[in-house]
Amino acid sequence: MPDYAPVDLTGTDLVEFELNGRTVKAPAGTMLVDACAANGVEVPIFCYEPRLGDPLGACRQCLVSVEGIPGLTTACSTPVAAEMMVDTVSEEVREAQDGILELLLENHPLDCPVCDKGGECPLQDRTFRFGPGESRMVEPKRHFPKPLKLSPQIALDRERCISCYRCVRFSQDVSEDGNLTMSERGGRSEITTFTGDSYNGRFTGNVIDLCPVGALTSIPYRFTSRPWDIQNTPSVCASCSVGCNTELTLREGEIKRVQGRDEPNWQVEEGWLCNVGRWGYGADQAPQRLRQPILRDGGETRECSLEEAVAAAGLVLAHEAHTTVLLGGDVTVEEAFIAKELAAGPLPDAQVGSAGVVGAALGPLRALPAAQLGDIDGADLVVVVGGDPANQHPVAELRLRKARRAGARIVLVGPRAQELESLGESIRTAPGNLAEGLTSAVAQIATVKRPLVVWDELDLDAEPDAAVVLATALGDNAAASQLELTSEVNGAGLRALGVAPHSRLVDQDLGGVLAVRANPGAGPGGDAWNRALDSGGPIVVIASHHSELTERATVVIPCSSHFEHEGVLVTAGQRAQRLRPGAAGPEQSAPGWEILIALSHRLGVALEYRSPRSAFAAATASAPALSGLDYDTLGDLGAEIATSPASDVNGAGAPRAHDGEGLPLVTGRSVFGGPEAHLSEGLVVTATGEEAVLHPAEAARLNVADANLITLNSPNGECTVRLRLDPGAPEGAVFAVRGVPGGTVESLLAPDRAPVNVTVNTA
Amino acid sequence: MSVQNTLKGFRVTFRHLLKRPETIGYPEKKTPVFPRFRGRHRLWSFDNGLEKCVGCSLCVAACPADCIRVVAEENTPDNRVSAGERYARIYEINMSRCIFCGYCEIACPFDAITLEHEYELSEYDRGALVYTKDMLLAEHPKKVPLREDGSAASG
Amino acid sequence: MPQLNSVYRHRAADRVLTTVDTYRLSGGYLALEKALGEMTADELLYVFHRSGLRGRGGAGFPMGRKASFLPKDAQLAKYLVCNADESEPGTFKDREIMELNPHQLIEGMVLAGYAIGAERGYIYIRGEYEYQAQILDAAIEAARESGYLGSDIAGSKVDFDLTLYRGAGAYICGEETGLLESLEGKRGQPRLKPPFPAVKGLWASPTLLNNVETLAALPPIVENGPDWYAGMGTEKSPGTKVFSISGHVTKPGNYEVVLGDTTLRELIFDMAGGLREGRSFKACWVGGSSVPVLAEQHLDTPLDYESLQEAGTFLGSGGCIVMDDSGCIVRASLRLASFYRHESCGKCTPCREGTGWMENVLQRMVDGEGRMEDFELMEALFGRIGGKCLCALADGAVAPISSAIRLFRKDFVRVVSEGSPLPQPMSPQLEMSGGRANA
Repeated sequence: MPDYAPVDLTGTDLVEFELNGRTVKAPAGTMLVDACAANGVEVPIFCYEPRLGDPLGACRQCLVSVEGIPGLTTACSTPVAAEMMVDTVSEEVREAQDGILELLLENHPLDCPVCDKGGECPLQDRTFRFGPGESRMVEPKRHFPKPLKLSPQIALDRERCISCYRCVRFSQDVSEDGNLTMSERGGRSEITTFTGDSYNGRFTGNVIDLCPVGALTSIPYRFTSRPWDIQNTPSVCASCSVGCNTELTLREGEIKRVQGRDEPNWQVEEGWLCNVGRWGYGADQAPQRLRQPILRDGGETRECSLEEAVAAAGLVLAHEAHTTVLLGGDVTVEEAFIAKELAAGPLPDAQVGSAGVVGAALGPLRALPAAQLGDIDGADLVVVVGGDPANQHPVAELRLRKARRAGARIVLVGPRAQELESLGESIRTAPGNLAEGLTSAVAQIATVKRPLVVWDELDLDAEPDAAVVLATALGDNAAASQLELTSEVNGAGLRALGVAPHSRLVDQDLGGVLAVRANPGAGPGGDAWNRALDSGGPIVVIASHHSELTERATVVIPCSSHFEHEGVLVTAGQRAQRLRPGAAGPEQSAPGWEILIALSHRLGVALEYRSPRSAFAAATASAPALSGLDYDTLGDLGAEIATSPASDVNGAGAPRAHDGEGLPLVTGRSVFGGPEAHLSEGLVVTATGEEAVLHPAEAARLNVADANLITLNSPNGECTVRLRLDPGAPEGAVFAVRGVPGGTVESLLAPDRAPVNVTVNTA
Repeated sequence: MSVQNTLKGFRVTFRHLLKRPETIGYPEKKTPVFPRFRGRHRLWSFDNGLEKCVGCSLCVAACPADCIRVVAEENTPDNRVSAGERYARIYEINMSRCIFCGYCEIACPFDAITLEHEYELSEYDRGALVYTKDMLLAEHPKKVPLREDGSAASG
Repeated sequence: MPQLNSVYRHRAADRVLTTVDTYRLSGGYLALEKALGEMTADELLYVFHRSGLRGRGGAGFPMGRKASFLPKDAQLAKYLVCNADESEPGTFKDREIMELNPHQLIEGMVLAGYAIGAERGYIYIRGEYEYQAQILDAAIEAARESGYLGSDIAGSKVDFDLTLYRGAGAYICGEETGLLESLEGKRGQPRLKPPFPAVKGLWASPTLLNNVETLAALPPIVENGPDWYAGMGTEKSPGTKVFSISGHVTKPGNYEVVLGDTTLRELIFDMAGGLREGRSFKACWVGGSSVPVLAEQHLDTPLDYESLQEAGTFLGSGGCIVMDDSGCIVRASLRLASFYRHESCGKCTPCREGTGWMENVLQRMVDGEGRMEDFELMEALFGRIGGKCLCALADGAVAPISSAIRLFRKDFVRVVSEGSPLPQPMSPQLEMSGGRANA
């Protein structure tokens, strides 16, 4: 966790002050702790956390002496002023800091050998640097039964708590769920939830990172490792397209933990992770993980070696007259590039398509200045168009809340009920009416200094006329910027490489199929896809987990998960970021790029890339949007790719008609109900499921009842799902959650996600 | 002259004929060791059967030869193994790598591991040199004689 | 000792004034009518300022100066808050005013509210004062009916209304920012200062916070003029102060004195009837329990802010606790330490952990397990707790105990060196646990 806020010592608003006898500079108004840290002087802290808002001044650990202020003052709450004289090392200060540590340790159990935090514990570290050598306490310490389950994923040890209020402030002031609180008083204070229930939420895991002692620990990580027998690797989360920067913890060949980085990416996640990003790694060890290559020959299914599988894949594909390469939405830039090369060369008469959104009318919007998530902080008006950031792009929610706290106006326009509506003005639009709903937001964009539009790719693809309206409005304000929340993790990367969505291929003869991390049968238009796949040639699947597609495949080649391989993802804000391997993965698996290269050898035209680095270099040379980037410029924090040039909408800006009869269908996805959430042992208890939501009045008209199973029918397919009635849901539409593993809501959609209507009946 | 010199030479020989030999009849007889000799490791339990080791891995951190492997787990009410919250589900020492420096013993905050006197650790199979927790917890089968304080080794 | 013409009407009239009529008969609400009818807010503020009235809650900060800190051009609404969370041990002066003379407090609040431009006032009364809350509630309702609260008070176009808010039994909610947090419905814990309540108080708006006794003193000041009030007492400590005397005296109760005119000895031995037969004076906590203890040599100290400070203690809230030689200073110190351990809100480390540690050490002494090195440990603890926290609770916890060890070291040394447990007191010590913890 970042202990101190980053301080810019290169600005022009610096003031000089005296720190331990030396003259140093810092921007006026910086808190003393941060100014000291920026100038190489550590002031010990516990309750201070730069991301938790106003300082609290509770732990009293940062007492320093400032000339002119009687007694000692807390450096966390004292802003720097010109000519201030600060002493952080005098005998008085040393004695005070030592005294606070002695008092903190008075009731803190010395069970460091048992405690998960031991070895990476700020209390331990600061006791060594600033604290007492020994305790003078002879009385017994305070005892509580331990540990308590604060949530299914978080263990609470009340004895170790030093009442720094970081977790409480996170809950109250950052995620704003307000559920964590301190009960009782004085030495008996303890962390608890306001309601007394489990501390459930989307971001609860962050309190583990925040806790400066071992009071809050991760239950899935509990007792699995110690800080000296792990390896940490900086990487990027691939659970959604936000692309939070993470740190992977490896022990004994497995990922044991994912946490926010010590040096967070201030432009992306600021160190916060959602619970799926934090505990989704468990999916790698799930039974559904592919650990052995599989060959299906006639009726016979057998396991084989990796070499054999690649050889067989080369054999079956080479004999096809034509082939189709299907890429998932989360393939890396390298995998997609090599797959494209394969299609261009050795694969017979190949066509390539990726899981993605057609977005014919989105070009003008994408050509506008792209913002990063971090830019939301400085905006005075944030318009959220479509989507459901809380569930689809969770960490973006924290940025929106932060902007609201800083005084920005938030306007949400979209077709679905969502939890963020309380953040500001909310305009609920009927499906097809988004352009009309944008009227008020458009007027506001024209009048403010720094407007920023956060838009959802899928919703604006469904309503191209709204995209045109929005692009025009933003184009009229030179200070405006836009942030696209893509539906696919690497959607922007695939687009930069020129890979078109595969929905156009579904009606064609697929021939031999090479699927890389793709599973179109579980996506929109699944029924059509399955018909096409069944009537086509042999299927070669490169995937990390079992799926319906691996069941149909002729050859299944296990590949690395995103925790196990190297590559580049282009995430929200057109930010290219590097994945790094945190673990090796199952023995009989290999990184996707390596499998594709091996396949090229088998197909007779060897591709000459020896590493993802060289493949990325070739990709940047061929794709203009990626030009100028290499692994070194991406570094740990990533870099923006070039904005695509403005393109003409060419008539695609007309509203799209809804297909079928009945009520318009609005779907949404939740990462908290996605594959990671359902496959990971630590998350499955809190994973959400598939459901349909109707307004009670609408349900009464349709004669369907709450909590019953209902059948939805669209021209594309049928699905049976449980109904929930919600008075907050919009009337005149059916809302359904898609993207749940094994769910059938996706089958209602057309392969190109054309808007549909559904009929509703009791199942 | 020469006879005298010869006898002089034999005197040394005969004197040693009367002395007890320095050689120890190993393996029939064991070489005695000093009380602080560092031999085979032993893990200890409390009298109530709970293991002293809580699986903290500090011995792993201290080990310069990287020969200890600890995988910890949480005690449950049904399966209470150690006195603390956690216990070592796996505790292995790779004796082929151990250099018997004793750092693990020094690092242990619970006096759970000590280096005992046994030194006959040869095996025909490398794998057998990885000692498991059960082996380390068991009482050592072979007894090693202690060297008398300050005295030289004698058989 | 001059006969005093009391500032508080129920004392001057020597009768209960809980109704509007009785209060008006004794001259009540005249000041309100005069001030609202004839004076501007600034003039009224100047009157407060000139009277030299100092806050009677404990800190003794000049009331008029505090009121002038409120920004004049604030965009936000201003608030007046009356601190009736009278939880300082040994203090019961506000209770008397609220019980017998609630309208003087209401009148004082209307005056103060008018002076600072507030239209809304709150009385934060401690949870234990249920009876007093009922009286205040009735009085507020009666004042509203009589047109002394609400809109257009006494035909003056001035609006001001009052809300009574009951605490839940936390000592820390007597601390001004803790009180504001509690009033906002949050956990009662002090805030970081600055910003001070005058700038950012209740609901982040400019707020004036005063004690019951302070606010109730305003109507007579307005009625008789500031110079009348300033003429009483000493230059720096003008006016009168009500002392609550409890403990080993024959006539415990509230006594109003002119500051500086009376000595501690006169207060205890003349006004409060002195000690019980055959007993001698041992110790006295003159300003509530949070001030350093005084011994016999301090008895001739005049009762005013400056003189008491010279004697090494504070006037505080005026809750004077007297102990004769039948009491044990070690046990008394333990009792105080228990109180502060129990009442520490737990926000700052030194107070949360330190008060408990002090209690533990004193408990060991009382149990006969004290060690001579405990004196050194206690000295170190006082240094590590005092002056290190957000609010004054920790300092208040250290002051009576550190002064007791300094003044009565012999008693402590005897207890430690004898090593045997002290005999149980005649009435068993009240158990502190089980109280309502949160406010």
